[in-house]
Amino acid sequence: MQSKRTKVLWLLFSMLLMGSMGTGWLLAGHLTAGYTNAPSSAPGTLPAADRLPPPWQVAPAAAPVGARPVYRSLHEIARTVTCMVDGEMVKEVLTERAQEKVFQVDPKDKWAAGDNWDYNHEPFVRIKQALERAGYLAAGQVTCNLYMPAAANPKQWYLVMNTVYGGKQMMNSVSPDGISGAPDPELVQVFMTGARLEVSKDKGQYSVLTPVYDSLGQITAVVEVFTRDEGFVQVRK
Amino acid sequence: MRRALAGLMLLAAMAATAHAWELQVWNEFSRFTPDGQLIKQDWTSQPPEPLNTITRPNRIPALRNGYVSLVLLVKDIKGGPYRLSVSQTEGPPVQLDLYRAWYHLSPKAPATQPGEKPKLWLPAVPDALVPIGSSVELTLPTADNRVPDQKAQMFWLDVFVPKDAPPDQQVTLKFTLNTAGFNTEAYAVMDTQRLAYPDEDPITADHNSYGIGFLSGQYPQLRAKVGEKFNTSDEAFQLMHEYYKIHYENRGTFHNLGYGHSGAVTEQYVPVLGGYGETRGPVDWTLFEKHFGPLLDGSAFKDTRRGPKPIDYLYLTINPEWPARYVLLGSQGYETEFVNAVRQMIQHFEKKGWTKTKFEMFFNHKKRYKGFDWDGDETRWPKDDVYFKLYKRLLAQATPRGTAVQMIIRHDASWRMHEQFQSLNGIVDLWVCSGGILSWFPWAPAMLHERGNLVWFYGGTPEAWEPIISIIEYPLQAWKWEVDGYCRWLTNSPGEDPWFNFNGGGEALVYSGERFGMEKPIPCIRLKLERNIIQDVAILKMADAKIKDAVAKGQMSPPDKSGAEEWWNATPQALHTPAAYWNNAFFEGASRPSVVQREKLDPNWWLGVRNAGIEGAARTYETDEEIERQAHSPGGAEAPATQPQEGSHAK
Repeated sequence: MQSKRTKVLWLLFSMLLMGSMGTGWLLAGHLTAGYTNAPSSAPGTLPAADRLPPPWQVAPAAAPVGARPVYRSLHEIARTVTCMVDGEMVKEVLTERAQEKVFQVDPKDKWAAGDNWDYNHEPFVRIKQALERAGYLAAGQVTCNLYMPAAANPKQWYLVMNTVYGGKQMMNSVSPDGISGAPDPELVQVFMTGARLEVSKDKGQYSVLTPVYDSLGQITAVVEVFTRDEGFVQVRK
Repeated sequence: MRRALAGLMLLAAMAATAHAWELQVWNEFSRFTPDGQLIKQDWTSQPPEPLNTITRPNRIPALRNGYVSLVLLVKDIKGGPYRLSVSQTEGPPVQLDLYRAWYHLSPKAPATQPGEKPKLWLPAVPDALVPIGSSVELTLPTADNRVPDQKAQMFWLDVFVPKDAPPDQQVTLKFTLNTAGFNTEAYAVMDTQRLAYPDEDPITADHNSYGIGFLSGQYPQLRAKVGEKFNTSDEAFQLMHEYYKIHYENRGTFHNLGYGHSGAVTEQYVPVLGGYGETRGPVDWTLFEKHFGPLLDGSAFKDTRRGPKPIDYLYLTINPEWPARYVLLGSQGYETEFVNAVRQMIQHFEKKGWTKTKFEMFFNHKKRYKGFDWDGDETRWPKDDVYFKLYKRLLAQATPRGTAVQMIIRHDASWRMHEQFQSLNGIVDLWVCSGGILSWFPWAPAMLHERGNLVWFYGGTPEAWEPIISIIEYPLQAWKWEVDGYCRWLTNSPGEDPWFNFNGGGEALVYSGERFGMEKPIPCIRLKLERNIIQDVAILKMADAKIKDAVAKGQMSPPDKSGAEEWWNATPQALHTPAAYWNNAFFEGASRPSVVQREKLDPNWWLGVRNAGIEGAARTYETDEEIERQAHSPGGAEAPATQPQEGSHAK
């Protein structure tokens, strides 16, 4: 009886030892790889946020201390969006033709911008699905609106896509065809600084603006994570 | 002596005042300004005369199972209180609905863009019709209408001749005007006809709307009374039913979309969905049934003159986000959710016996609204057709074999309709085509009908400022083109202040009745005239065979004096280029103004067409047996060969 118990104890001890060694080995490998781009950090410590390449320099920042629950939820979605949405693919969403036609003024055809607005299916679907998935982090209804400057006219921006719940606080004064317009200063601020921003222009409406990065670490777009008082508490079906 | 003189002076004064009052009866196309003048732009030929000329009474043919309409005009230079009443003095009982015409005021002409032709405009135009039973006491000027210097008030009278009224009888109506010192009477005489208007509409006059928001916003008092939960209240559903009723009663079809461009559905239009994947499906039908149950079994219409009847069409809310979640698009999960949820919906419809209505899968979204990557509406790019094929396959998978439920795919086509007639052959069941573009393809309706498809065209609604004949164009065009109907794209949005800052009503055929104490919509002159024209088209369709034969033999000229080819346009030379290269300027040069505009036709022309139609139809049904059979058949004439078989889709 005694020897049987001893054998079981030895077996458990051996398994624990091997497991610890394996975990340590894997962890050591990961940390080594992770630190490759941060040589100035001391071994065993995380680098300062501004030493990391985007989007990590922004995305890990949690909601500000004391943020209201609604903003806390929007920040969680926003940081996920910044991490997960691929700015390279965002640049592929609109067709070249749509981008060319959007600012071609034809007095005989005032709806040309809208009539020529067009997407490449695959990147659109993948980006929109990423935004919708991020929105699932909220219990209630949230919309993610993706904005970007027009390649042909960077002073003009357009809303590239939205998600199902609907609503926005940005770019509500756009051209008559609803396609493009001057960006709100908040959009430009996030685009220039990369820092997430809370916005509430109308009572009961809340947005967090967050950047989207391409492979060179450049901000290519800004996503508005939006909700309203009544939508935030609405159960999604 | 002094007393006698005073009495004489009073009598003379009353007589002088009293004799200024006038009561006139006019044909239904006569519209009047608030100073009692005929609206000039309505008439390009000889203006009409009042019908109540005693020495030459007009005899108006009154077909059974339908309406005859008249316009009454009360005039006086000085004005004052008066009483107007309408009664029947002779003949089989008819039903009388009297309405006061509202003068819509607009302080200034609408702005025009540089290079744009100024729009027709009137500072005060009669359009909305306020129901007043068969008599009313008012004061001229009409206080609530606030028309400066009003000297005349226009009224509309609908006379409904029941289906069972005996033919060849004289119906006499008496109109009485009582003022402080003067009473007068006028009469109209009608003859009931052997012909009857059919129960079924000869064409679908589709009146579109986009959700409850378009309606409920026009009832602030009702909303305030009910409170926060208005949109799901019994009052809200009753209000929506009233919209269906007013269109149905006036031979229109009301369509009300329940989802937005982002794919978000409105809760009153859908069953609550539960589950995901294999378990995705409806779990609560309460709001859907409150909303649509009485419309789908017809009971919502039980107190109408046309009687209970299930609605012909219903927009479903199926879209790329509902009932399957877009986040799963491209996966097995998406297809499973779609098929399971839609199948359960169809099974529910069948269990309820809702088999008379065509349930439409209709994609209204456009890329420009940024919700989806393809145009469900007015598709311009060939690559987008792939989605229609996807949803057709999913709908086919969802549809139980042998179901009697009619599920159809509706597509509103413009740019590429001529290509899509081929690329979406077998996919689309109901084609709702841009009227301007369809006008280039006279071969299309017959080809689509051969496949069992339905064909409508779409467009706008003439503003009340336009010549009144404009309201005739779509019903007549539908008849000429031999299509199944037309869709006016928005008919329930009269603007922020239709009463005192009118926008012309180009997006409205009904108005809110709340200003007049009614929690329901009220009709307008254009709606009533459109109904009367649809009645006429029913008669013209009945007469078609005989008329065509007579025209071919040179025995008579076409009743409307124009051949069908005049209603089509030449196919533009540039049509061979892909639609991607077209622009709106291309369309402008490619379609002519309508025949009515080109020929400067006016209501006198239409009254002639109506009479020719009645004459032609009477020739068609010659024996008493034929007449009796026609009067009691739902469709009047033979059922159109173009109607698809019930449940023919997706079996």
